[in-house]
Amino acid sequence: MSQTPSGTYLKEEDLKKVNTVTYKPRAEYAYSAGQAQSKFLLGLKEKKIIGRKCNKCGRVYVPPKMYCDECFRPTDEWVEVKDEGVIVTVVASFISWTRERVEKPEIVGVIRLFPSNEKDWVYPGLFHRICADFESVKNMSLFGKKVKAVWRENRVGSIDDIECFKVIE
Amino acid sequence: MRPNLYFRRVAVIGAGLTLFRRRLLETPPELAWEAARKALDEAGLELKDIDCVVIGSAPDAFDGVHMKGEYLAHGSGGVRKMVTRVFVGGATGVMVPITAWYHVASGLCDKVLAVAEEKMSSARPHPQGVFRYIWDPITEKPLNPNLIWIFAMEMHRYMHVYNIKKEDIALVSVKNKRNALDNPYAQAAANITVDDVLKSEVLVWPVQLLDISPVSDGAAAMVIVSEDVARRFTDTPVWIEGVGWTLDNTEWTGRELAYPRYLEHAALMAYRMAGIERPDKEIDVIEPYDPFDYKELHHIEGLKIAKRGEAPKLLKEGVFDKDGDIPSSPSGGLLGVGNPIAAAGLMKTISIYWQLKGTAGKMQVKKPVHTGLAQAWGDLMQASTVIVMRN
Amino acid sequence: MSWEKIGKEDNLLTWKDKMGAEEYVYTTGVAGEEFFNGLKQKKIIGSRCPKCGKVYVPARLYCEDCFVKTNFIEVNEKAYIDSYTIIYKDDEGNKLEKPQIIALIRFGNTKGGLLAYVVEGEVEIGKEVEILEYKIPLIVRVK
Repeated sequence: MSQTPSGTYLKEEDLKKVNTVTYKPRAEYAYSAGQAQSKFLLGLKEKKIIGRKCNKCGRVYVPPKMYCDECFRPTDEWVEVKDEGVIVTVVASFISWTRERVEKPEIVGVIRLFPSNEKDWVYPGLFHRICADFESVKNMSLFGKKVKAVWRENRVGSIDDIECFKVIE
Repeated sequence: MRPNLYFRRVAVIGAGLTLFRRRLLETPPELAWEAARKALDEAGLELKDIDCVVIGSAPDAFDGVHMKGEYLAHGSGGVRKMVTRVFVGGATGVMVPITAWYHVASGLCDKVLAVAEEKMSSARPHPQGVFRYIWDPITEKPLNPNLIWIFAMEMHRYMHVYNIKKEDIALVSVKNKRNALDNPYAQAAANITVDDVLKSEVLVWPVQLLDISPVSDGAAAMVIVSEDVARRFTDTPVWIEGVGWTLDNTEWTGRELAYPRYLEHAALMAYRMAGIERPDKEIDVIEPYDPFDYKELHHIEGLKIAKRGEAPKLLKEGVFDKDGDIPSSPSGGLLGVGNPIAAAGLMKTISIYWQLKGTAGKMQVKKPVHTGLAQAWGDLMQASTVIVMRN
Repeated sequence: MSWEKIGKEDNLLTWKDKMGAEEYVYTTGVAGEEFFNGLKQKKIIGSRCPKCGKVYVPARLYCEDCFVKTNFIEVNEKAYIDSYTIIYKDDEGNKLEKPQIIALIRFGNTKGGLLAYVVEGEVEIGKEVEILEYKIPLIVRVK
């Protein structure tokens, strides 16, 4: 390895000393929700969590999908899963999406919704906020706890219609 | 997958790397050229000898230039040549030599220049903002997630299922940053302790600042040729003996996060091709992808080099140290050298190449090495690529 | 196996969102630094390949055929119009007050060229131009 490393290192303040070009991109999108997610969002408006089941392997997809990717065939029926489940994993975030620091941590995690059981390798799981405090995240006591969704008063048909999942026992 | 294929033997005869730093002056094509030029020099070839070019670069949104493959082609020697661009998120770095491998193994090309480059410093205020678009726009993005959340969730699940403490995981960060002190290209080499890691800024519990690899600019390149060409140009070719790659679905919320099943598929594909039946006994040096410290352990288990949940124990025993039985990340890995998304995986492959060739300088591991493995991982807990090389 | 359709178009929803990082700050690179600093001094900086002798404008760090490092030089060759077009609307479709003429200016025998606004003179392919302002794009007038 007889090469000398090349590349010119610039510190943040050096950026002012060199020629630069600045540009702000404008890209706006209207994503179509499709059949499955449309029904899912409309279900949320009515405080229901809708999933889609593949009768061949028995897997329930939440959020719903019109095809089963394991069996590679269309899924068969709409099912309503409970808005209760078990905490699979949980974290506490002190940074925003722009990498800025926040005082109060945001608690999020993955919830395995019922009906399903602990031995399932794949299950209907939802990524969402969990109503808890930093301490309970840190001491790992939240794993496996039963939780239920706290629905907002005014729902519009969005994943945000659920405020968070709170521990019930 | 049973490889009932007849293909030519393929070897690596040259490699080049640029400095990995948070911000470099060079434009992306200039970075690609720096690395490519060095690779050609080591191989003893000129650009006119190369017949095909493979380019790997992660999302255009980082560099801020659309159609990045075409933009980079200029600096990768891809003008008026057969060019292929590959992209599988972070796994791109190892997908690049794999793609170059099948170009040569199939007989289509004789001499391939493979280049991976990433310039993350153009995106402001922070390149992390670009990762925002990896999420499903309807069911995940409205929650305003940060990419680190998904790693934190996987890390916490891994800790819970196998009862592993943060102190054990922090040892990876300590080991890799220390290994990077011997690497002249490294950005984040340091002599830190487990305490330093545990006292660093908490970003998304349980992930802290020193658990993560830094954001970087950088490029890497390799020259990959057929057996005939290799024997003409060098006495010490490094053979690519096994490759594997897999993609999983994006429903990371619906599957067990504590074990990377997609990596197992990729690893088995590579092992079958290379004739490896007991990876923990037959592989001498490894470079598993380590954008986060727990990821190295997670991947070592997925590669079947340690049993599930056992990697931290072996780490504590020193098995993965530079002078241990299976040295892991002797280059310092992403934690020590830096993480320009696509170039990082190729940097790890180049580290194995140097180890097998004996030219790793101060990074060379103590024991004699004959079989090495490099692995990369990418997307939303989805893609994995594995490459096995022998000297 | 079933393909159940919802049936009504208005039951399908769309979700609107914007993409992109906040903004991008691009460095001009090693060769770009030479070129842009040259513009500040009213010079056109190109680069010559020591192996094949080709000269690239604007300056490039390396020769794209020989793949070796080039040397930066000042380009004094004749600037001429290689091609041009006339623009009547801006990039959002609004009509411009006065049509703009954009030309591709090449310099003698060098490889490459620069875009320019032609503000004076009868534009025609092959005609020589004089550079009035050294910025990107150039401002030129037909000689």
